[in-house]
Amino acid sequence: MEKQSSSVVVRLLGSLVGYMRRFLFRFLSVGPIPRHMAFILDGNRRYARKWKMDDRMGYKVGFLALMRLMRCCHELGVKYITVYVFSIENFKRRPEEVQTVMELMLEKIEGLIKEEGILNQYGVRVEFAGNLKLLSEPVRIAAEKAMRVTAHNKSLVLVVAVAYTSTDEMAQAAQECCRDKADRGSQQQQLVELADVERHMYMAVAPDPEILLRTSGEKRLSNFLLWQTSNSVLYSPAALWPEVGLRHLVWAVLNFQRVQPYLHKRRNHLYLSTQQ
Amino acid sequence: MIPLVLFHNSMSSLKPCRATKTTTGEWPNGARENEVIRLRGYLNQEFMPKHVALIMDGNGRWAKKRGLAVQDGHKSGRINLKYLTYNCSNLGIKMLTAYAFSTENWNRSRMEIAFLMTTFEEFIQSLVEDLMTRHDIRFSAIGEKSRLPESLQSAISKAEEMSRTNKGLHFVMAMSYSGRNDVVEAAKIIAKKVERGTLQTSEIDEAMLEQELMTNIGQFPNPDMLIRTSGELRLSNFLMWQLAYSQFYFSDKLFPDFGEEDLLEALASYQYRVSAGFESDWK
Repeated sequence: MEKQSSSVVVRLLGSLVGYMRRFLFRFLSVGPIPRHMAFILDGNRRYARKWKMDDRMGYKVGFLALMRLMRCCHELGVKYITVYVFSIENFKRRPEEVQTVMELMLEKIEGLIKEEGILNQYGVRVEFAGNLKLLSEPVRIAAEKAMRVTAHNKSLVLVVAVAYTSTDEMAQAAQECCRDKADRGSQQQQLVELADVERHMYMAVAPDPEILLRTSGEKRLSNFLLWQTSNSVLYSPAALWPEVGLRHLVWAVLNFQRVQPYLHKRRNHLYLSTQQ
Repeated sequence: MIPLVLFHNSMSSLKPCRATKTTTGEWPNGARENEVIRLRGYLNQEFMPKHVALIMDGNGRWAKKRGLAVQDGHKSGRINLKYLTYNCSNLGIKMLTAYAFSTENWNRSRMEIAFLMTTFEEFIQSLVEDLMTRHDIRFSAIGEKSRLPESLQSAISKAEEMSRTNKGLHFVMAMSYSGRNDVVEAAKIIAKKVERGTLQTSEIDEAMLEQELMTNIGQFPNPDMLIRTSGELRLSNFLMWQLAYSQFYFSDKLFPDFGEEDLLEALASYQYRVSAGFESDWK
């Protein structure tokens, strides 16, 4: 009896919190909501050290935080989320660490794409951006399977940047452009244009992000989305990634809404000036 | 649009200790000099950034706050930039890249653009007369110089020619510059090479693209640090490729108010980060 009533109380409380959260999001929706938010998941290892866990637990807690934030973004109405999971620079770390991350990624991808998994439940489409050739075979196969399985989902697009650096992306795009032009034949004098380069980027699946959130207070881009963030609001709270919560999201969106009219104008100017 | 109360943006810098000054930037007698001396004492030459990038934002707002015309804001910005160049030169910074005019700024009114162009000419002139000879400063300009007026272009080439062999601070002015166009131009050059047959498509990599960028002049092409004034938290299409691993410092001060003590604070914040070691998951 007691167990039943406590679970009723818990459920009531849970639904009250959910109701308040949805009310807050409806309040925020009065102003413009960003279409695309990007996150740099920084601070998992420091969090593990702070709470005396090992790194693997730290990454797992980080993954839970990612799921939490993804749910909030979905409720808010954000259409694209990009997360920076693994950089090409990170391959230079110790092999055990790289192995830990890769194993965890494999485990999580396979967990997510199950039928009753969270992705199909919320209608999330997964895209993997980056130089996937650098990943080990099982991870790459799992990633491609995830992209295939969720391709029909329309509600939210989750772009996972793994084996990704922005400079590599731009170099690959330039290479693809040249290859394209070479295939097309050398009869016409064709120059590489901005639209060509943008088309061949890994991140062509999503528009430019409006907000970039980097946790743990670091104020750097670390070779992430350099091309796409020229007019995005950069926000860097001091919280570590597993500690990130609703309040950081709300603060970022409010900051975005403050500068949005000006940024909207700038974005149009950027496209106009590149047409010339 | 939700009407907001603007909270104090406390995330604009990481200071090793509190600096006490009023928010309007007015100093009591002698306090500014003391502040400068105190901050200079914190700085360590070993961790000084070699290349600093600067986005000079806020001239228009500064003028509006004082009830002046925008032109006066640009003029005081020009004077402030000269002082900052002098300060950087004294501190031992090797390169300073300043974002003077972006390709998006061509959308401003013709009067303002004309005034800005004359301001740039005056600035280059004052550099040539003063800092180049006395402090051995080298001048370069990057960007689409073909869109600039003739007089400015000739002033630039003259100044570049005169200071080519100078060994002091290398001052790079980005006029009519766009980070995206920089990369696209580099890709165009590489595409031409591929077309001519001097290069294979499979050989294109990051290092090659980096070599063809406009900023590949001087010893340190990538900035260690970016300072942006006037409290805006974005990059506005500046030095995209080169800022991959640079620290950002966002200051709430408008550019004409950004004095030596603010520069020293930015450098102190950078040094605090660098000397503490990068604990982050990413470089």
